[in-house]
Amino acid sequence: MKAEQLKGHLDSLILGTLGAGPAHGYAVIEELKRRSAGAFDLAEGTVYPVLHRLEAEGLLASTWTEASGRRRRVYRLTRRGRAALDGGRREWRAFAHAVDAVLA
Amino acid sequence: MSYASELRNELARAGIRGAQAQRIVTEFEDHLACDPEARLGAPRELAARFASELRVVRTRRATVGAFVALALCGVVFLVTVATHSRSGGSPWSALAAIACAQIALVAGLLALMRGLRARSAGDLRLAQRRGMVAILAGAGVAVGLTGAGAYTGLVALPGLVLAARVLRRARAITPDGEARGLEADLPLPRVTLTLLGASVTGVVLLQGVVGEKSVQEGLLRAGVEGVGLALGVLLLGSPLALRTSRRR
Repeated sequence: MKAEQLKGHLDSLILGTLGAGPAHGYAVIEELKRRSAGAFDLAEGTVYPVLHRLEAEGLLASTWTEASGRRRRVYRLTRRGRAALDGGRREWRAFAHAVDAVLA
Repeated sequence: MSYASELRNELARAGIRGAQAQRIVTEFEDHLACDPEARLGAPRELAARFASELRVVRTRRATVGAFVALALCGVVFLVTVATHSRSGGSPWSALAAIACAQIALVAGLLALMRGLRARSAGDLRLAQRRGMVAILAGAGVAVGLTGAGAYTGLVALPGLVLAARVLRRARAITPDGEARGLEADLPLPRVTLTLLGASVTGVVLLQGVVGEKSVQEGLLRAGVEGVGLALGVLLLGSPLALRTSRRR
């Protein structure tokens, strides 16, 4: 699936990935690939700007940790982020239901 | 040149510097350490994408911050006007403070209106420019009050300086573009502006007539206010987009 098709859904997908627990950028991208069985073929660098924006909007928070002697930024959902994720899930279900109804 | 150095250069070119640029580079270095074959993308495109993702939220924050700093300035202005003795200081400074207060109020409100709804680069730049005009006018209030012998005006300056810095950060990552005119902020912009101008002039007239018990004084003040408003629209019409859309 191309990045253009994911436009508008990427925020929810990233929030959904972090819904399972805190993770750093690489882990978020890997989890996106794993959960979508490789369907979301994103240029990996494109996820980081979205992570930064979601944090600036207060939907994510992040902290530095150490891993294998390297500094690593770990992201987690904030309360507002969790509410946005719930909203995103509801919207997606309604949208998918409507598309299904038309295409079926 | 290494990928990290190239990315850092491109981030700087896109207006992202300092701690944020360092953080991005560190995150990408960590990513490459996890997967040396990772497809992170061209540094220039990545830097542009970071700027694009961040400019809306930075502008929104900057215009709200500017408005808060101006609100503090407004409180200082009103308290000073209500409590300061008229003796001492230059009357021209007082007049400048009054004119700047009106410019700051209008520009600050317009900046907030556009800043909260803007998405395109042109609209974001306009919100930033309006915010900067408002902050400069706010500084004019502080300086004018000081010139009029009321040093309370200086209290507002640190907040204005901070707000200007935040606005500059937002501006650094926003390219030029086409902005919509005043019609994007106000319904019936010309009618609204005319009514607003007439109301303010009317209030000044009343204040002169009632406060000074002199029709002549009231008319003089209303005339000065009217000319000031017309000059303000003439001089600031373009930077504040009080008229039509244009290339900025």
